[in-house]
Amino acid sequence: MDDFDEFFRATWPRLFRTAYAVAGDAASAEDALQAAFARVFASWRRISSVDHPEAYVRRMVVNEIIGDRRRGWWRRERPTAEPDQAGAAGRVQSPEVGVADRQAVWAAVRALPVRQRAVIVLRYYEDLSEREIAEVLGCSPGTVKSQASAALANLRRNAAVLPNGDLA
Amino acid sequence: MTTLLRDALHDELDAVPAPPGDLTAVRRRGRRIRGTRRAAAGGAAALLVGVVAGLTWPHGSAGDRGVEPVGPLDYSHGLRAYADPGVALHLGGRTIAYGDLQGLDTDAAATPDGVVYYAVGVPYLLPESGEARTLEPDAEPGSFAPTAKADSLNPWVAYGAVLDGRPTVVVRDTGTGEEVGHRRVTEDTVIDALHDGVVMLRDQGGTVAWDAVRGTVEEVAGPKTRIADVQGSVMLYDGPRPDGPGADAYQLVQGGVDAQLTFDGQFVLSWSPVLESTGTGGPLRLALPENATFFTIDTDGSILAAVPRRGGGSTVYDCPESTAECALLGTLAGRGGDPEFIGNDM
Repeated sequence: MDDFDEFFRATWPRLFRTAYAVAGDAASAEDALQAAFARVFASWRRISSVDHPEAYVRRMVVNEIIGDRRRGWWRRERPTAEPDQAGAAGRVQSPEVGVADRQAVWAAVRALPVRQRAVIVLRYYEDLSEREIAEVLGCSPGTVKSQASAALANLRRNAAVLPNGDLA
Repeated sequence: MTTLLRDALHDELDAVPAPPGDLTAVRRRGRRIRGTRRAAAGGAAALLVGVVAGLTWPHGSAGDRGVEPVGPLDYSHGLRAYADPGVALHLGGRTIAYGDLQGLDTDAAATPDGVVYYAVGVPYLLPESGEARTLEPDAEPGSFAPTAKADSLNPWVAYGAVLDGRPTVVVRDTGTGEEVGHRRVTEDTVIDALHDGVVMLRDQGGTVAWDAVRGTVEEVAGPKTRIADVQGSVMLYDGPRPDGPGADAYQLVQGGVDAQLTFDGQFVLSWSPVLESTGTGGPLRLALPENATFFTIDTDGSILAAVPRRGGGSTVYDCPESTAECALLGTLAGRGGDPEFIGNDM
C-alpha cells in the first residue's frame, strides 16, 4: 500500500483546493476528501490500475460533495456574501481589473448552485475540457455547456465587473 | 473575462492552505470498508455453501448452523439484484436480511440464470431455485477468482478457477451446464468483458480477445487500455485506443472504465440518467429524476437506478431502455452506505 500513501500525499493538496472550491468551505471539503480517499484505499488495487487515478478520485470527490448536497445531508451553503452583496461589490467600477474585482468574482462563484460551481471550478481552475467535465459529473457535454452558460449568466448578474461576451 | 475568472479562482484557491490529510484515518476507514466486503463474501460463502451442502454436510444441516435456504427466486424480470448495505439484499423479488446474505455484492456477477460468485476461489451459481451449485466441482480452492462476466447474447458466463493446478478461464453455458471453452491463463488475468463467446482477457501484457467457441486469440490493446464493456458491435474502452487486430471488428467508443453499454450497444450508461449515444443519434433520457445517481444494466437489458431521497436513503427503479416509465422496485434506507448493484462496482 506504499504507493497509495504516495498517491495520497501527492494528490491531497490539489484535490483539497478543488473540493474546497466546489464545497464552499474547508470542513466540507475535508470530509468529502477523507470519505473519497477511504473508498479509494478500499479499492486501491483496481483504481491504481486505471490510467489516471487522480481523475478518478476527483470525480469521486466532486460527486461526493454534489451528492451530499442533493441528499440534503449538508445544509451548509456558505457563500461569504449574499448574491446581492456580491453584486454590490462587483459594481465597484475600476479602470483596472484589480484585486477587488477578483474578490467580487470569487464571491459570486461561491454563491452559485453547487453543480454550476463545480462546472466553473473544473473548467477555469482545473482547466478541464467540456468532455472531461462531463465525465467527472456523469452527464453529457451538452449538459456541461448549458450549466456553464447558466453559471456565467449568474456570475455576470452578481459580479458586474464581468463583461458580456463569449466566455468559453 | 476568461482571464479574470481564472485569475480570481487561482488567486483565491492557490492561497488556501491545504490541511494535512489524515492518512491514518483514511486507511482505518478504508480497511473498514474492505472488512465489510470480506465479511460479506465470507457470509455469502457460508450461507450459499450451506444451502448447497445442507443435505450432505456430515455435521448437520445448514439450518443447524443458523443459515436458512434462500428459497425460490423469480428472475423473469431480470435479477433485480441490489443491496441496501447493512440492511437488506434484494434478489429476484425476494428481500433477504443483509447479515444473512451479504456476499452477493458488487464483486459477484449477475447472469440471466443467476448470480455467479466465488467461495474460497470456487465458482458457484445461485439459480432461480435458490439452491446454489458449483460450476466447477473439480476446482481447487485458491485465490484465482477474477470477477465473472455474463454474455448478453447467450446463457454463457466466463469465470476463473484453478483446474489441474493452473489458473484457467472457463466459459460455461449456465442453462445446460456444458463447457463452451476454457483457456489456461496467468494468475494476474482479469476478465474485462464477454460478448457472443468472445472474452476480453487482460494481464500485464495487455488485452486479448479469446473466442471461446473457435478457440482463437487475437491481440486487442496494450497494457494501458481497459476494455470497459463490449455489446453489439461496440467496444467501450478507457485509455489508449485499442489498435490490435482483435479490435478491428468493433466500433470503438471511448468512455469511463466503470461505464456500461446497453445490450444493443447503442448507448453508454455512466453515472447519469442521460445515456450518450454510441452512434450519431441523440442521447437517451430515462424517465428518472435528474439526481438519479447509481445505475447498472440488469440481466434482461433493463436499467436499474437508485435515486437519492430527501432526508437520506434512495429509491430504486427498473427502467426500460427507452423514455417509457420506470417501475418502482423499492426504497433503501442507506444507513450502511451507497446502494450496491450486484456485479457492478460503479
